Amino acid sequence: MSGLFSALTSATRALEAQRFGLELTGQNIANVNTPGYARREVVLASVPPNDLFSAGNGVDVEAVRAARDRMLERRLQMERPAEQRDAAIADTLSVVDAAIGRPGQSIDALLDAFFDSASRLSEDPTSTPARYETIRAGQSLASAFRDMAGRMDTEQHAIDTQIQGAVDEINDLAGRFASLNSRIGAATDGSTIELQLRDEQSTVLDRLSQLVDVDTVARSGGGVDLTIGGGHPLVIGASAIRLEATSTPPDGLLALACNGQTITSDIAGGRLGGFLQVRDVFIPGYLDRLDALAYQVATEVNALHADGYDAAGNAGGAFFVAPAAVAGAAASLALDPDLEADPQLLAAAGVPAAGDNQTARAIAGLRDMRVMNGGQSTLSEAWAQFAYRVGSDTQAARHEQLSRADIVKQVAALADAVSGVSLDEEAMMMLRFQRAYEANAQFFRAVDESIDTLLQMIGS
Amino acid sequence: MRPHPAALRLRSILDRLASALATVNIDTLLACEAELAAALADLGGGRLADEPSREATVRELAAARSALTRCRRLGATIGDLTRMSMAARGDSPAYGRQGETRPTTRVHSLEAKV
Repeated sequence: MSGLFSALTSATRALEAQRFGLELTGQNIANVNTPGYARREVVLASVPPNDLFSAGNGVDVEAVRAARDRMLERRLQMERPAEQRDAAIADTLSVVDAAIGRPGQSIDALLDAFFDSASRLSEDPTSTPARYETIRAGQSLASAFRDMAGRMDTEQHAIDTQIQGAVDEINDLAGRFASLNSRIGAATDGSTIELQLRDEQSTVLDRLSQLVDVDTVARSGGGVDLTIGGGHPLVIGASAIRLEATSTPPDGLLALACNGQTITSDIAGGRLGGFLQVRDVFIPGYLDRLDALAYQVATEVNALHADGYDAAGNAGGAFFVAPAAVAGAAASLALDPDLEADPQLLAAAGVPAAGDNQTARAIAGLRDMRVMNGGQSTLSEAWAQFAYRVGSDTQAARHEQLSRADIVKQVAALADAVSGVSLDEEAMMMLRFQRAYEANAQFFRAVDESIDTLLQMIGS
Repeated sequence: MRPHPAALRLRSILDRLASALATVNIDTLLACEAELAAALADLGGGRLADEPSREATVRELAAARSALTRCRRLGATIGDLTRMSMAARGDSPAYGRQGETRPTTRVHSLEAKV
């Protein structure tokens, strides 16, 4: 009887194991579109016999395993922050690019208008309307420089709002991750609950890696610690360390700190890294160029104006308020208040004689003088180079983002393709794929050379 | 107004190749090999068309070069991943002309969940 009973128990156990396998298949199908869900596999194990004379006790479910490829997931974690950083750079730079304005409709147009007005003044140096026109053109030019510097400053603060948003989300995700660490620690090893918690953790990690470059360190207890910015702890076991964003003088821009340590310059990846790079590297670089241009405009015009004589035959004063330094010249560029109040103070003459136009002509001639970049460029050319730089930075970031998005897509596709297959099959599949690529790659050099030859033939 | 047909074809194949690399489509990747060889042979011959087509051809060639860069970058990632994958399994990515791989050493810990 015991043999028959044992056989029945064994059969029941086998049926239970198969039923569980079917349930798991249903679960896999139901979650096919669930973010972060990794396909479950049931691991069956035979139940050993009780004694030498029994065939065995059938089959039992030993474990449920989530089909994840650690290497590919890690690679995705490496690529995502870079992709998102480039996306953030391209997004924010496109706003700066739009603020620069189209060629011929921005500071370049106002520079031309200023030189045109000086040229008209030289045609009739005693004309009061012509003096007014030159002063108005100077005011417009100074105002455009101030506006442009203001827009850069506004954009830096607008980026700060996005930085604050990213920091809030990072703190929220870090809190969730730490809580999941705690629950994973309490869950039975290999249970479906544990796998579910790990799926959730994978989704949180995926979102985090879009925001900041995050490194993972597996804990012996089953959880995962997180560090950001090259080693600053964000999650240690069940504890999340808060990332603080505080406004700092003199410009009031946000500085990031973790555990009381400033880490702003250590954050290089993710959207947060992209925002910081635009705010702290790109925009200050553009402001430097803008300041250099404004400074040169003011000092060159002032030098010529001071050498001239006004309508009353007195030596000319300043045309623009003399900038104290190159830094901040664009933001503070303004017309001299005395000149603004009295157009007769405009020095159009080169000698103290009514009707002379030498200074007005010299100011109009500045248009063609190579006074920028060590005598390499005119003022208008320097502006064009500045506008081109902003445009090309934006394009380069967008191009880089698309390229990285390709790689993310590729690694994700590869992870999908190998998920759930054995290690040997996975290795074989990757090797086959690599060989298929190499078969094509053998032609790449020839393709490159042929393109060169064709372009030479066309004469482009 | 139309670009050189061979340039058009080359760009189309390279775009498809890059797309196959990005989506890990091995069948398309294998099919591209012969097509790329044929397109390359075409580039050697053929007469360039009149003036308007030159601009279009230059644009097409620039796009082809950009697709080629994309392919190279994605290919480098594949090579990188394969090397990492094989190294993690305690094996080098060496394989013979017939595509046979050396016996791999299974590292069970990699099968485990994260």
